[in-house]
Amino acid sequence: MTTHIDVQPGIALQRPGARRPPQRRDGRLALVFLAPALFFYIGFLIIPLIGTLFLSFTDWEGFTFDQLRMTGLDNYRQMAGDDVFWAAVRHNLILVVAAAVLKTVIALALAIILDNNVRFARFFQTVYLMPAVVSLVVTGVVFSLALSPTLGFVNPLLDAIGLSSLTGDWLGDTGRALPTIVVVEVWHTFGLHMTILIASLAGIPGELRESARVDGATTWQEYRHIVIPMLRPAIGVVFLLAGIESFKIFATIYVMTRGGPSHATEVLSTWGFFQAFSANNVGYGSAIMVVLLLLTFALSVLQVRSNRRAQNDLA
Amino acid sequence: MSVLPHHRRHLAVGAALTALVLTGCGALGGASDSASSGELSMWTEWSGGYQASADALFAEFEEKNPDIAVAHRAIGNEDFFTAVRTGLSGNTPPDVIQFEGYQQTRDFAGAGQLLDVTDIWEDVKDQYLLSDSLVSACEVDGKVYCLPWSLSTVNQVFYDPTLLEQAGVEPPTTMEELVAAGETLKDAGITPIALGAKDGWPANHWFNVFVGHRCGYDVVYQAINQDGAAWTDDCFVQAATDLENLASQGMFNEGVASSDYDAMTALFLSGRTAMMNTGQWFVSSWTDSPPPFDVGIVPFPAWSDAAFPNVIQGTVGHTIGISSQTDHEEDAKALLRYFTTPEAGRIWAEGGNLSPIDGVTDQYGTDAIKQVFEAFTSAEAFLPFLENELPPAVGEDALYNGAAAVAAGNLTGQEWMQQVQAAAEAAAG
Repeated sequence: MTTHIDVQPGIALQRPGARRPPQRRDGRLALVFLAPALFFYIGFLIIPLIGTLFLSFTDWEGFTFDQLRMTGLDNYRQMAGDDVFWAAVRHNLILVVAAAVLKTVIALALAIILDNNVRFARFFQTVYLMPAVVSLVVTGVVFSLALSPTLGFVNPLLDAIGLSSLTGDWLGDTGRALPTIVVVEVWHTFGLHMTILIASLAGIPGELRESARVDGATTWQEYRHIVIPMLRPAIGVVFLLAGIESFKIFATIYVMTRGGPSHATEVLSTWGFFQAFSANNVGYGSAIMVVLLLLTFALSVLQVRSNRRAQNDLA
Repeated sequence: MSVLPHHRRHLAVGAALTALVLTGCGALGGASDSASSGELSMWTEWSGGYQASADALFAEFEEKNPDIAVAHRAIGNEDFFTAVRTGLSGNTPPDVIQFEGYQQTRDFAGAGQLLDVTDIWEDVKDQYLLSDSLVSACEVDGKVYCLPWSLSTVNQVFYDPTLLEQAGVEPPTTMEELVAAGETLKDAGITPIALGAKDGWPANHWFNVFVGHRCGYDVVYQAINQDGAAWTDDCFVQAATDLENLASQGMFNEGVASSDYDAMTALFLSGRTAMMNTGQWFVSSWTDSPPPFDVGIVPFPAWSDAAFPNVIQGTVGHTIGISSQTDHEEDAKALLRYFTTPEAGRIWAEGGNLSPIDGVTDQYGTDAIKQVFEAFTSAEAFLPFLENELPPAVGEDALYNGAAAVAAGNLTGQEWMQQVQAAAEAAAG
């Protein structure tokens, strides 16, 4: 005997008591749990960003909104003749290139070393990651003390091992201060990037590497032709993150040098901070921050495009 | 069995989480909130060596005014102005503010952020030493917006008698003697002078004194006002070169440009340098933890050819004002009046600080602070901290950065004064 079931067109066949399609419910659930984070994101990032953009077109000392005057592009024109601004841009670019390259290279090198069944690999991984959990202010204070020519241990240590020619005023010498900041910056987060690359290395199919070895590939060839190419997207992400970190550097420099000596370590964030909070030029300081935002955004766009190209090549 | 349908449960959880977050945000409201009636908020720079005196002051005030509680927030000197500025512009200022007068008074009063307290000043001014000159720290367009609280001067050199004795030198009475002593100390393997110029102002203090001695009060103010004198005039270049010469003669410790004030005082108090120049606030900082030697003090010596040796660096260091946004005006005025009393001045002087209230420092000050005060009161004229009378681009940028560079031997005095003059001209528009 045949049983016929009447089904009206357009209505999906459902068992009695069945729920709505899972995707729609998941979307609503996601929104609910995202609400607190969205609140913070909009309240503490988007709104201040819009405020900063607005203030960049004003002349304002920052004491009361009654004194705020719209001045159009005057603040951006002022940058053209501001030598310290251009020095800050140069320093930012030096930091981005030097720190990002060093962080990526060191992180990659250590990730590869630890990937090769080194004893106590997990211990070393933890040790290398530890600087990233130390606050930037603490990092700056400790390094400032350590590098002090009168109170620190770095110079006496260099003397003791016969490298007296390297001793000096690490943070007070205009020629040394910025490279020293680069070293501290790299020290702080290379471990984090190394961890990202180690995780990516673990995702490379073992059989690919195995079959390369069976075919007679040396370790160098294995890494050059299989591992590194497959890691390119991850390396790209690491380089992007390292670059963005270095672009928005502030606390390290503020604690260690305040942008000195004689603006030798001045970057856009510290110069913008000085203008807004010390020089009573909130409008100009905001304009500097907008420039920093645009440069960081441009870097992100470039890197994301490069990353997509790398992923397409792999595919 | 759940009362709410499944999706509404998740909405409720999300709403609860958001409410929790918002409540947390509310709880993070700053110390400037004068939430409860009878509670005043006051922000000051009275941390570190000032802390004990501050605690005693508020304790005495609250004992005399049991209906008023003072919520005191001490903020470090380097961040203080930024915090006050942010509080004022964010409409969350404290009821009562301690600040540094002069340009800050003009900035705050110009923005309508301070209450006019001319009436209180007229009532109490006769209690003050040098009231006519002190009030300039608080006066804008004929109205008084704060009251002087503490005097500051960097017109002294602190020294370690044991190190001087070890090298066989006497405390200097002229700059030539100081330099000669420095050479002898160097020969004995002792660093002559501690200086931590990372933040600029400790090095600028030397210039502040030299410029008074070389140029005199009137010419300095002509340069400040860019009316009749320029920073590139001979006397200013000479004062800047005086600092340059000290650096080139190796009078300062290594790492001048990377050492801050704390490192400087650590070098001195640990017996690694023989002399140090800084403000009288240093006296109160060693009260709780005295160094292993009796710190000597001499008035800052002048060069033998200085035209104005009795023009010293001395100023109203701290002023106290009331926020125009306060909801507790009467209580705030009560606190302000308390700070004008000899009782309050006594507590301040006993803590090793300089009170401008007549007779108080003489009678109650520590021996060290009395020595500083004696030089202060015998001066012909007083120059404030230059940066307090200058726009930030001139004072905190050109002066500070240049002073640090000159003290580190990276800039000449002439170049420094050219930078300062260029900044002054740019600021004048």
